[in-house]
Amino acid sequence: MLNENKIRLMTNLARYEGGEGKEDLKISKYYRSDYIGIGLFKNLILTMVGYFLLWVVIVMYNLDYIMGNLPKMNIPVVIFEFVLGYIVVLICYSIITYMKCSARYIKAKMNVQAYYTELEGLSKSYGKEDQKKKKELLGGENR
Amino acid sequence: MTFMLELKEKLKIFYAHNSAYLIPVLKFVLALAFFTNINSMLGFMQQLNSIFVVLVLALICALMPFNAMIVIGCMMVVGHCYAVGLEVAAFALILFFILLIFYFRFASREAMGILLSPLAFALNIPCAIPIGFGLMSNPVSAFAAACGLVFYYFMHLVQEKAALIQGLETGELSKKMQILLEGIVQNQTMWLTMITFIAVVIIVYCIRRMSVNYAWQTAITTGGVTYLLIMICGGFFFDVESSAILVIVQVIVSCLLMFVLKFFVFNVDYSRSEYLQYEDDDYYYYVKAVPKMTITQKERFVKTIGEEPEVRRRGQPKQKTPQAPEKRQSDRIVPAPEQSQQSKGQSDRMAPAPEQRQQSKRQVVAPEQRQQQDNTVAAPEWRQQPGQSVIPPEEKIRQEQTVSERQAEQQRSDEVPLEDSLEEKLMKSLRDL
Repeated sequence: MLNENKIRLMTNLARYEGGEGKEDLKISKYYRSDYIGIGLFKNLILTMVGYFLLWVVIVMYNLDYIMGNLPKMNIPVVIFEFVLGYIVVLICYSIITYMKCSARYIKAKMNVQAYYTELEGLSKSYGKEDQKKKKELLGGENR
Repeated sequence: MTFMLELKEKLKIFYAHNSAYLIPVLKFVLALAFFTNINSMLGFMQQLNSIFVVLVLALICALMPFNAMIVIGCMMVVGHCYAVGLEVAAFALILFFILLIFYFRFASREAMGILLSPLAFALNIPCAIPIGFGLMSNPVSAFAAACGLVFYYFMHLVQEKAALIQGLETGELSKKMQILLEGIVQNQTMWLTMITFIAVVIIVYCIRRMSVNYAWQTAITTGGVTYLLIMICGGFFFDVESSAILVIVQVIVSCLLMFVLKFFVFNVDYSRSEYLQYEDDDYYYYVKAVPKMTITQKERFVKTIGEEPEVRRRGQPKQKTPQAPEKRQSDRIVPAPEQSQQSKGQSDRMAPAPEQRQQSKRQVVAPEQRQQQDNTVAAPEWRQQPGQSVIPPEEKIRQEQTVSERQAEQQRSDEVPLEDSLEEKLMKSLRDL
């Protein structure tokens, strides 16, 4: 006979595994520090690329001026500005990334805990069914 | 209103039944509209302008997540820009990468702003975007709407300056970049619209979340008025030329659309609000419960002539109503004399007289049905009971009459008092002596 509770439980589990659970289960394999560390490392690279692209646009915009005034320009100051700007952008985005990764990790952990609780419930229901079947079999043999 | 609620329920049921097919179809339509809009705005690359290519791309998008639609759309824009010039394509690519790295990396689910903003501008209802985001999402989505604006105004810029850029020589990279960057940075209409969008999203969101009656309606109206005021007043400070009447019409149409959206998303009956108050160990709770406005589906009455009216819901199988046991008994089983003595009064009351019974049978069966019955079920009711005693109705009536006569005699004999009979017996014995 169909066990409605079990079907409901399995549907919930399958839905979670197919959707949000994919990402959550991946995240749950990491320690919190590792997950945030990886996020910050990705942020470092992406911010560098983004910042470099921004500078490319600025340089292209001022290309005529730069080509005309390159000998007069104070290159160390320009480099300093470039690096300073990069550090500021990096710090801002690192803070955002840290906050986002922390929140995501906590949420994933809670979701995965709920998922395991449901999974445990499912395995218990299987255990009960097995016991019931065994009893039935034993009863049949005794007869 | 009832009609609208019924329509909503029907749509919900239809969506629940067909969501597996409906979602890809809607995605296909959205993708088709998005790509067609890009082509109509830019349309510099002949290969991408082909309806076949657009249909194939839309078909692919129907089976993929929304973000794939945005990526393909961005690639199409880059392709069109490449037809204008390599520098323009490079600039478009850089712009999209910057948007991706600095914003959509954190809010990938809000990339819908890029998708919907150009469509809203094409339909002349830009006000619907910030109000919609304010109603359906959070304040952070204001940035998504702003990014969508940048996307739209970039396409608009390329459309306007394409001829100018194509006229420049290949070596004039700096000049091309200047045209594009100035077109974005110094586009005051874009900045004014962006400020308006952000303000409207935040205001609509804040009002919508308030615990007051008609919060959504107030939010939509306030959002519309805010949009109107900022766009008209901002026109004095920024160098923006816009028609006030056009903006008013846009706002009215957008607000009406948002009211339709509200009807489907958040339709509650404030007149039946309940205020609850309770506590637990840590908190006091002041709860306001507002019931949703729903309507139950109309019940269908299936009336079959010859049977009792039966109420049947749509989708439920028709259930046969069993006949009352007393009636069945009186119709089919002729009671034994002992039995009839006990149940005489009851059977007299329950079962109609033979003439009446025949007459009533004639009344309940409609002529068409009778014809059908004559054709299909030739045997009368009393012959169709295999397990029961088979007695024709005339015989049954006669038997019942005789039984009733016997009962009457028995009753008469029973009615003789006990004392009288004893006296008579005594007198008889005395006479014998």
